[in-house]
Amino acid sequence: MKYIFLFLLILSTQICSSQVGESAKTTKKIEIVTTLSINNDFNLQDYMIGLSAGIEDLGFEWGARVGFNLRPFYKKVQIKSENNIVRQYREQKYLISLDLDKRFLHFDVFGYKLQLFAGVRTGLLLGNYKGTKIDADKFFVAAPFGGLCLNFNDVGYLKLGYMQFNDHLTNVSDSKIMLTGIINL
Amino acid sequence: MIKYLTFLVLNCSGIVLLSSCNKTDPNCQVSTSCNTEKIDSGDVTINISYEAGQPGVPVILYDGYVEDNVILWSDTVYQSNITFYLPVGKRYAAEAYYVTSNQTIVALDGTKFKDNTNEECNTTCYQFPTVTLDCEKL
Repeated sequence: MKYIFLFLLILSTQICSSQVGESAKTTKKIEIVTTLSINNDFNLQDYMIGLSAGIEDLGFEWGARVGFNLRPFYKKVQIKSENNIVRQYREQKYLISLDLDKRFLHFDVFGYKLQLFAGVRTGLLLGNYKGTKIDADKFFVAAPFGGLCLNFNDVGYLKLGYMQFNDHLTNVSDSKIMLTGIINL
Repeated sequence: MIKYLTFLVLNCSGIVLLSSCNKTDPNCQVSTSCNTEKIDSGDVTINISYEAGQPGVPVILYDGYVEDNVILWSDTVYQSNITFYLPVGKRYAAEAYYVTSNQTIVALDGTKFKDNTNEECNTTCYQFPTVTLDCEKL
């Protein structure tokens, strides 16, 4: 508990100093660069990996990325069917995604440039099952996320955060950790 | 940008070098254990969640996908796995039915039964093919 308090204390002092710095800055302007990113979303029950390409506005610190994510293995899932029948499949999952996020605040913590970020991952969730011709139901997903961003002088970013991702599976929690590496080209 | 291109070129040249190594080794010799004869059948094992003393688990083995409804075998199983000797190159699916008082879980798995091979000096060696269909309950 005391470590969390200490961390928050450090952050709050950094927020104060960063906000002073922010106000002293000159007016921002749009500065778009293209990006490539690797996405990892996981919890104790599931894992998805993906690649995205998009843009990052260095001036206003927002980004948009189109990506393709997949579960790199077949996972047993249970889907409630009619009349108390539960169907258990081995499922592979795909997500065609659009990520929109915004970075904000600047902290200098132990020499590392940190920021907060928040955004949303939207997209179409697809899947198929082994042993059958039927595919998993398609879902449109909108998963909010947020967390900490390690900023490598606007050359790249490492984002670690939390994502609330509803994949409509009873045996997989909606809470996921996201770890995304982004390179500005 | 230049450093990323350099990285890409180095990666590509590495892949080319690695792939060329396999092709040009004149001293490469196929091991005596390498079987070059194709094996046409192998073991398809279905894993089931079964506990001793409990009721048996109805299992259906299909040729192809479940929807094709070509049943190769069906019975109630009283063990945790069952193995069939079947031709390679075909697709198989299996269903296990776990019936309780308030619900039935139908566990399905399926796959294409492929050759079990490895490459030695550009020679394909065939091993006894096996595959497992995982119909164990979550």
